Amino acid sequence: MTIFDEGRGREMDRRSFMSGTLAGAAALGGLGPFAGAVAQSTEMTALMVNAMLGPTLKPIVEEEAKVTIKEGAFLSGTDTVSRLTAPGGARYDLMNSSFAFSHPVVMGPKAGAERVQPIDVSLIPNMKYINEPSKEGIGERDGKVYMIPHSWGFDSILYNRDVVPDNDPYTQSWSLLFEDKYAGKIGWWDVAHQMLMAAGLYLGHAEPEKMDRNQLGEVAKFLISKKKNVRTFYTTFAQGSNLLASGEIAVGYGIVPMRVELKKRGFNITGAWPKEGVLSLISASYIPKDSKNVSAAHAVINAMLGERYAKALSDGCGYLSASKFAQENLTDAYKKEYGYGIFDGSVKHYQLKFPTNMNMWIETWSRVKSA
Amino acid sequence: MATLAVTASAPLDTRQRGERARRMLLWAYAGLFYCFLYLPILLLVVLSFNDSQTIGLPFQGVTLRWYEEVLGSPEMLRSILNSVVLGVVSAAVATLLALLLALGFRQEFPLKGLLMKIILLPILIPGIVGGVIYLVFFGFGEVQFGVWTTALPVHITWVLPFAFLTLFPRIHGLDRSLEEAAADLGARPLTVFRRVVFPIIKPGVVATAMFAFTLSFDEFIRTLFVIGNQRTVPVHLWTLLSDQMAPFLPAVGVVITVISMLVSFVGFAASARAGRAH
Repeated sequence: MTIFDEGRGREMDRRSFMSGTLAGAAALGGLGPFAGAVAQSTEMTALMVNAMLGPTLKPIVEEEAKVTIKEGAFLSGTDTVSRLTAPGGARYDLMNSSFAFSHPVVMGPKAGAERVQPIDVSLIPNMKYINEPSKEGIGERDGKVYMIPHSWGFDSILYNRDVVPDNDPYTQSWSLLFEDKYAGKIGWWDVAHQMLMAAGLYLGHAEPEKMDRNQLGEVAKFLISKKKNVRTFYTTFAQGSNLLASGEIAVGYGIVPMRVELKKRGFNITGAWPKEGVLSLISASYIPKDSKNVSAAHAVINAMLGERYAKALSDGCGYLSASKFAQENLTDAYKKEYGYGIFDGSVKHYQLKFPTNMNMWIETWSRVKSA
Repeated sequence: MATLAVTASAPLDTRQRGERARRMLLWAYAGLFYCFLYLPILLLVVLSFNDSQTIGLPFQGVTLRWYEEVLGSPEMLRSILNSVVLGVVSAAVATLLALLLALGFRQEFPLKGLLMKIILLPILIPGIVGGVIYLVFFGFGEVQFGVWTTALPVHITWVLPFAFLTLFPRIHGLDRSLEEAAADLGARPLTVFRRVVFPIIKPGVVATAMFAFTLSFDEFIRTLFVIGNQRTVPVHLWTLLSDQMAPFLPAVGVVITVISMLVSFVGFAASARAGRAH
């Protein structure tokens, strides 16, 4: 106990020293970069998909929560949970990533092993507006809430309607992404998790995230046999969108913001609703243990479930808000276009869950790519 | 007589034709070489003015809106400023350290070979591994992430071996007798360095600093792990690529190229001035 306390004392001293030094540097020199390193009560740091705080959305959250948000560069869900577990703490006041993917890491294996702090739900009055399907994205243990959902995204196949007619039966399945009909016009997203999930669903696996080595081997064999149809692989939103927009590919794996932006820019590109289900994800927020502005983090979570943000989210970046406010006054055509059928069951979906053995998945995908 | 003239000029014509063909081949090779090097850059400039929502051809009219978008974005301007300042400071520090190391390595001392390998180690470590190492290191040290607190030391560490490798041969090949002559004439070591050594190696130092700046300006993966909420140009570009179509990317490329060229121009001018003075 004594040793622990002494260690803690040293830790606190070092922290105080660092923040004191930086604050001193900022005060003495008026140096912008140093000043940015010192936390202010109205300033908070967040790490989440950047589109969620896009140009039309961030001002709403900042106004509603009365904070200034400084965002980190979001790389992926994997990167986000890796940062959460990194030595020295997450260094963010608020983080957000896919619930199903992040849940095992964020919550830890048992009570007390959570890597985040409990959220004070009394500070999130908008929580009562979370719609029924989204409640699946609440991370709860022993009566304490650790993760709160705020939106849904989904991945499906994007296709150019000038090349692929809407009534083509291939558009009703993930087959569009694999089969020979559009050989040479197909683009694959260069990510193991998503591509293997899509192929697994298409090949009839009920729970693709649980595929064992043999099953993954079968999926790899199938993908390798279909690789001849692939024009190119892509890794970023910009790359995939440009390939589709320029006509270099007519079919590609795509995330929902890609579809929305391509449509906004006037391209005749839309998303398929495969019968096996679109690959969905619930984005959930959590507050790291080392958050320096816990009250601001709560305020931002609440604002992101608020009416203004919920109503602006789909137009802003294509995601569907977990709040009931989002669907108020929406036309049926709008709901269909943006995939709100996920909530009423008219759009089949399957959550992008964390694979049982991610290393095996990455190895399998590498095999597909190098074949 | 006429027969003789014909037979004498025949091999000459063959030689001339051969020479002409060789020259033409050389020109064609050089032309292709330069096209391969510079056409993509030229294409980037052309595309930056293309009034099209996609990055690519055909050319659909001239517009300046992509430049307006780039230069009108406070985040982009801030990231450019961060990259430039970070590049200048890390280049200056790394060049100074490399210079001191290169001077030191002219002497013989124990474990010299091992120390040399340690200095060069950051080149051998893959970027992503380096990024994780820095993340863990600064995490344990509880150092606040930012341009000055973490990105700067990372950039210096990354750039230092390259600066050392550029500068060391220049200093190693320096004629020691010049320094000995100066010392014989009563110059103290610092004066010898200031008045004899530095003027000779100055162009090399400038070139090293320029090279170091470019390396720092381009650095992405290590920076991504330690920059926190701030952005450098490569990190900011990555976030743009990750969540939008970004048809303004060629304009960003041109702006970055212009900055790099300006830095190179300043470096060349300084180097040339130093050369003339020498």
